[in-house]
Amino acid sequence: MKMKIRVLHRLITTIGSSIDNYLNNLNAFLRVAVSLLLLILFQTPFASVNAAENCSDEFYIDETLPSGARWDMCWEHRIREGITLSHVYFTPKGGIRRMILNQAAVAQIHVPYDDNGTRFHDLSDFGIGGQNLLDLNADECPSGTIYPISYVFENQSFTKNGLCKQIKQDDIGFKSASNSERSHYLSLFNVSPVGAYYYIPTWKFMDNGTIEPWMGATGALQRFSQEENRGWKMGDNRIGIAHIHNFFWKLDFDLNKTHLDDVVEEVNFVLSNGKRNRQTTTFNIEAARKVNPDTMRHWRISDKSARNSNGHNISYDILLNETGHQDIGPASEPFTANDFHVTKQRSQEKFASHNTSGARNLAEFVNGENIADDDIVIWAGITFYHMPRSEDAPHMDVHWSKMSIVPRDLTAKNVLNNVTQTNSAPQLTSISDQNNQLNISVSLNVQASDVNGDVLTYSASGLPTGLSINANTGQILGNPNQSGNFSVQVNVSDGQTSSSTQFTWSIGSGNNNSDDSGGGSLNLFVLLFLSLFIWAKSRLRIRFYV
Amino acid sequence: MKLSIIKTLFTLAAIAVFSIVNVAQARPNNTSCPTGNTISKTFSSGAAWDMCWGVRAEEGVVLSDVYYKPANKIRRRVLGEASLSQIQTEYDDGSATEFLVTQYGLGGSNLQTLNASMCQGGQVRRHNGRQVLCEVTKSNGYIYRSSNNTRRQGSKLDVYSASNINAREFIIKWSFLENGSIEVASGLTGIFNKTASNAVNGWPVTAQNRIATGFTDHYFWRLDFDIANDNGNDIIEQIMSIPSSDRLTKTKQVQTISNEIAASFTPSDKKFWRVKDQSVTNEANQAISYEMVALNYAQQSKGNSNSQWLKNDMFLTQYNACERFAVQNPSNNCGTDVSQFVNGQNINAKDVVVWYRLVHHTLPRDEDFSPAPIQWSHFIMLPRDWTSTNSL
Repeated sequence: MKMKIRVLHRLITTIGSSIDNYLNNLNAFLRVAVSLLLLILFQTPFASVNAAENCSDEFYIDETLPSGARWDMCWEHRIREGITLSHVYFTPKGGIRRMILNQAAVAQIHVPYDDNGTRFHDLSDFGIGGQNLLDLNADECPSGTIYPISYVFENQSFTKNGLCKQIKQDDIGFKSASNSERSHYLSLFNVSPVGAYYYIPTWKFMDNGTIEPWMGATGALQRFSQEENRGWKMGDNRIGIAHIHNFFWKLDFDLNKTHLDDVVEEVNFVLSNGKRNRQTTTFNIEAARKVNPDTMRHWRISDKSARNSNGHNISYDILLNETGHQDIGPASEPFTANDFHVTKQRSQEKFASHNTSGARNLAEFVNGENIADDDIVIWAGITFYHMPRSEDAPHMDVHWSKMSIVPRDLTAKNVLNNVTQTNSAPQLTSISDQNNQLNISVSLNVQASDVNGDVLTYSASGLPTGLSINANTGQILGNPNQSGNFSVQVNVSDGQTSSSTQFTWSIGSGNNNSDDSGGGSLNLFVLLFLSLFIWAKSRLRIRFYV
Repeated sequence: MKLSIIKTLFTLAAIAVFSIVNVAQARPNNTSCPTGNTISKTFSSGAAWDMCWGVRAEEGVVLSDVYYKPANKIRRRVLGEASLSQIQTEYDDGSATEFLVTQYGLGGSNLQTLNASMCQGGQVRRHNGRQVLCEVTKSNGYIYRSSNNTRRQGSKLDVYSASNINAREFIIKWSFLENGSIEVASGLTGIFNKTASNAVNGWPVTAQNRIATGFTDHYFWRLDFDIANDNGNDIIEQIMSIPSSDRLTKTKQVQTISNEIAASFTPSDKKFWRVKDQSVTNEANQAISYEMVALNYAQQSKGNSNSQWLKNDMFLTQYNACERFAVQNPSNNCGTDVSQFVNGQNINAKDVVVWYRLVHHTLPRDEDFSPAPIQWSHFIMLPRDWTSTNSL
């Protein structure tokens, strides 16, 4: 990089001096301006050599996964936030490349201890980059690629094997009988020691468009106590103090790159008469919200204009499922009071707590600003409560926390499915001949199944007058109002193919009304009940006497 | 007259005998694994797992006698039996609730045949001649990373099967980690074919804007812990960390659960449960135990129809052979659901069973059609003081 600039400088100086000959009456100021102009002109072709449009090659990650999906993005190293990502684009298999996130970063690791002996703000106060970024050994990035990270600290230059990129796979990405595909994902992680703790901030980018920010924590326990009710007495007789890890991420969504037309909404599934009614609330001003198990709440970010080919707005859901250790801290830490925040993007708002310039924390970032038609930012948090155990010494195994960012209608279908399932006709269970009486209500369930899982539509012809079939459920209902024998055909369709069955439906005249036939069946019922009773009595004598 | 007295006495005696049996029930401790049904894995560190598997028509794959051997330590039993004892599906449009394990079954013909590509690098085990269970070892990244370049990468043993029920598919996966952790997961995939008439009960999918019905799955995991040799002396501890009124400190409270309980999560007190052995200890004289790490919370709703068994997250009961399905349990001499299994029996130093309800809500989307990309729901069983230090 430095070489490139030096060469450019020499080139510019040479050209500059020849221009000098022609334009010797130009003053120094103009010369500088011309040089700058030339610098820009010369740099453009250099930049276009790079595949990346937003960063130089060495900071560009462009990965097409074996299944055909592609993620590309730029990364950057910062002393406090560690590795941050920007210009994160997803190209579904065979689909359109769209920006998902403009910026994504860890926004705080807040670690209060149960004895209140200390309450660390690891990111803002210590940093997970720079001197707190680990130089990885090759074996720590199995089957992966390590990106070098260079930075200057106290006038000294450092280069470390800092960022590990891996392509991983899971056995089952989706499955429907014999139609199954593996799933692949791009994984990026680094390791950041802060005190005795080693954090592993990890980003997983799935071939189905899902993004999962993870945080691992390992190393060794940081603090010990004399009081057993502040933690756990371990095998070595020390009492490891229990503590919270509040992990925060800052996610600047710019769906489809247009940054002023993202809409953030909260989705609740409200219970009403045995049903769950989806209720959606759009945020027009900044908001701080909590998860709510009763309504299974989640949040959604959608683009106002970009749509998939079904005509549905592209969007992402934010799922904070693993919130069982949610911890609302003291009044002095209002940024812990909520799980999800939406704010107007401000570049000086970096850290969820101990923010260094402007507002001091998340609770202050949410200060009533209008976010409709503005650049929005999502802040999400997940908590892990660590009660030490004997296994945590001398080394502590990694514990992981994660959140999920899941596409909704980004594509019009599962584009990773390679099998055009051969359509099988739905199967209809045959129906025996029916006998009913005039003006007595009738209910008959038609049963059908479909191996493809298609939605089925029912129809019928020749039904006794007064009866009709429900096209969605296949239930035949009504009061027959004409006697006679009816030849009925029932059809079921999966949209492409159909099956049918025939039977005769006899409707008896109103004269022989329900008393006779009903009485007959009642007698049978009584007989059945009596025999059952006698049998039960003989088998379970003891219980009856009790 | 005399006859009736004799009858009454006989009845009372029968009740007494039955009650004694009831109080002392424990899973038979001498179960042997049918030939060909054992699974075992020894990792390069020397840490090892072994267990027995079987298939039932209802629960599908059931694991039993699960043993963990930490590196250079004694092999000890963790679980007597572990199964997915019910999946209750509730639909957002109020259509009939389904109980998949008892109404359809995860076993039988619903248990899917797995081909080699669904079990890469592993071994597919057969049941009744069909390949139904994948057993595969995977590298699992860091076990730990610490100062002075101290580091270790680890492996895990994955055991999974698939069950297709009305076109939806469930991948039931048990991961046994080298460090003793057990991760249990259900992955939902397959085809979602329910349609709602009202848009608020689902989500418009396809170009035709068909309303795909939203639904909630309640997974009921049945975990019969049998720590170490004696399966009748397990103790459950509830551990809470109570915040002070200014919320600056927390104070730990440990309570032995002496009678069966149904409990719910309360994030504010960080409540969790562990099952420990009454007598077996590690080298530091601490009781060996496993704890439940159940972090699923945001979707942990209490169901749509006021059902008692959906009102709690965790049910701790004494082993009872007839308590098999968390809901729709056959009721001869037994409760019909897990809320009835909690009926005051003593669980202090008994054979205890942990029932965990894990809830997952699905709002379908265009990408789910089809098949739906897999969505995992999981929890962890973590050794606590199983060894006096990190054995790896």
